[in-house]
Amino acid sequence: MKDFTRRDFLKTAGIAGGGLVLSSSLLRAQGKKAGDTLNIALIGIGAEGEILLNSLLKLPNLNFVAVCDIWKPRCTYGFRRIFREVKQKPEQYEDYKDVIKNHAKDLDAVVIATPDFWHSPMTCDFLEAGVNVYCEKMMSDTIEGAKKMVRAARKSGKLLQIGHQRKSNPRYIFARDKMLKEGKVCGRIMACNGQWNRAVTKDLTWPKNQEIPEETLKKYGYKDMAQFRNWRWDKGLGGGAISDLGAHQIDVFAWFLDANPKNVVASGSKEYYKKDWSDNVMCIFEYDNPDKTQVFYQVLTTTSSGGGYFESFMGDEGTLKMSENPALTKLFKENNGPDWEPLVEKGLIGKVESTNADAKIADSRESKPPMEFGFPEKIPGYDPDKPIHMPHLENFLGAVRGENKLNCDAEHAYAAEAVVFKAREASESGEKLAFQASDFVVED
Amino acid sequence: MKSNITYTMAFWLIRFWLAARAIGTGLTKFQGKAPAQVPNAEKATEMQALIEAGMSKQEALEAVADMPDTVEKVVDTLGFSLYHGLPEKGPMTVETFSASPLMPSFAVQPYAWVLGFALIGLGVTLLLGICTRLTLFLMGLLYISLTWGFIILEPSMGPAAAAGIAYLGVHMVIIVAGLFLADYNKFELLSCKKFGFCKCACEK
Repeated sequence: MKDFTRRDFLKTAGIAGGGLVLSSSLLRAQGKKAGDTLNIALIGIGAEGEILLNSLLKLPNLNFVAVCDIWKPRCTYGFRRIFREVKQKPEQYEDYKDVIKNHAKDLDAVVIATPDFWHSPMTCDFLEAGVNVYCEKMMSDTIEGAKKMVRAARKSGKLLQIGHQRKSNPRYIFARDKMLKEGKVCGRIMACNGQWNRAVTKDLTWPKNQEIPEETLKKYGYKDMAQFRNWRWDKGLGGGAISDLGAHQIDVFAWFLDANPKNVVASGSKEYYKKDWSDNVMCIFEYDNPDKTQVFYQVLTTTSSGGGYFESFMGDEGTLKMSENPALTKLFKENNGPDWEPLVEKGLIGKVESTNADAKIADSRESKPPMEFGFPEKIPGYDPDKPIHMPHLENFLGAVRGENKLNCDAEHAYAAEAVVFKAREASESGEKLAFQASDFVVED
Repeated sequence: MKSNITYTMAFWLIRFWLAARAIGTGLTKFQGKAPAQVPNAEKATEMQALIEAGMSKQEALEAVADMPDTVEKVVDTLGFSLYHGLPEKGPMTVETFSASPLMPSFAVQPYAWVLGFALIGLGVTLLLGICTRLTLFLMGLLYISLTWGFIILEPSMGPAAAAGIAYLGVHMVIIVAGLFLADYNKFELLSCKKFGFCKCACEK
């Protein structure tokens, strides 16, 4: 197979999009300027919608025009939060199509946090109506749905940001650009290891006196209340753990390595919850970079053992273990690696009190323990008090105002999620699957 | 019946203490956790917050209309369906006692069924003053049976069982003291002699 690099992807994507795809004119300038108040709507106020709302309520110059959720208690919850915290009274809707009908003309942006299978139709409809969209990942429960979103964004000329929020996380941006690219702290990264290990959770329940009427559930594609509350595990609605949790992290490998994978083998198990999608998935990717980096990724939903969630870049000179949780983020220098003092002086890395300093080795075949370093004290743009989704929303709203480009537009999100779709396919089939250049782009 | 107000008061204290002890312990056998509908405190708080934020009362009422007036919560409650004569967990379950060679296994479950009712029954009887002497005697026998449970578990439970034996021993001392002072009892609903037994003692 011909080597396919990220540069090739950008080239191919540019061609596929008729040269328009990455044109900066499409990534900004929506008739707004810095500081303008934006009219926005929030579609879907479940767990994820609430997380996004928490961030939106802290951002200035937003006018909440509408909130929408098919579950009335959640819709009114959103309304009440908005009134309590910013003294605004958004209209409440059950059907997003009514939001489009009544407000599309005035809306500058919509934030969509509904179950995966609604992402594509909602996003396409809003884009078609001329509204910029921030949509949670996964783009869709199907690859076809994701493609439709990319095409709709291209056709409308509107902005579409996908919620891979690590792309706007100042710590991740610093780690990639400064530590890995400029400081080359890891040396040659021959292996990566990522995981999200989560303890057993019970199915979500609901108060019996707050059930959605059956005809409403049917109208929106749910067979019953139990499925509405636990859609993530069902084929045709969600994508399972590898899609819900894995998509965030698998995206980081391609981003940091500046390469796409060329093949994947994976194994999934459905023995615990007995649902449509696997409880636990383990994948091995080979990336198409000069070092042919091997990446192991696992998502486990039956144990929290093993140190939580992180993405680890393991080089011959050092290892960078990234996590959205700063407490889980680590940087280690190989004992026989080069001196890192110059990197500390340049402010690319920071010193920490090493817990490995006095570690003894038990066997002569064992390597000396690596030395622990960390992030420098100040990281540009990083505020530990900001919710982790806020920078990504700020990036989106900034793009709507023409202040910056999107950090995760539909084209790039599609390339990242194509990897997840194929990994899931490999875990279902048990076959080693190869990626083609065409897998990462959407043809017109 | 002898008359000495000090002794009478001493007996009453013993009588009421033992009654409270038995009734309370018996009631705990009917206590457990169960889902119940309780007023939704969040609704009132939310409404107040909306009004404080500037919403009219009518608007606030509409805004919280979808919030239920009551919510289901697991609460501590009493009920026949929650009855457990012996603990459901820990070292003193029906299973543990049934497995002991020092206990007739066929009797453990019936004992567990009866225990809570017996404690409450004896406690109420003592409180009301019904056959007080006989009640005290039966209560003593009941505490001996409980003591036997601790004795046979002492090898496996260790000091906790020994403490339980001593603790029940204190109950026995109080019961015996009660029997000694029973002659000074007053305000009985039904004395033993009404039924014809312990006539001699009651007529001293």
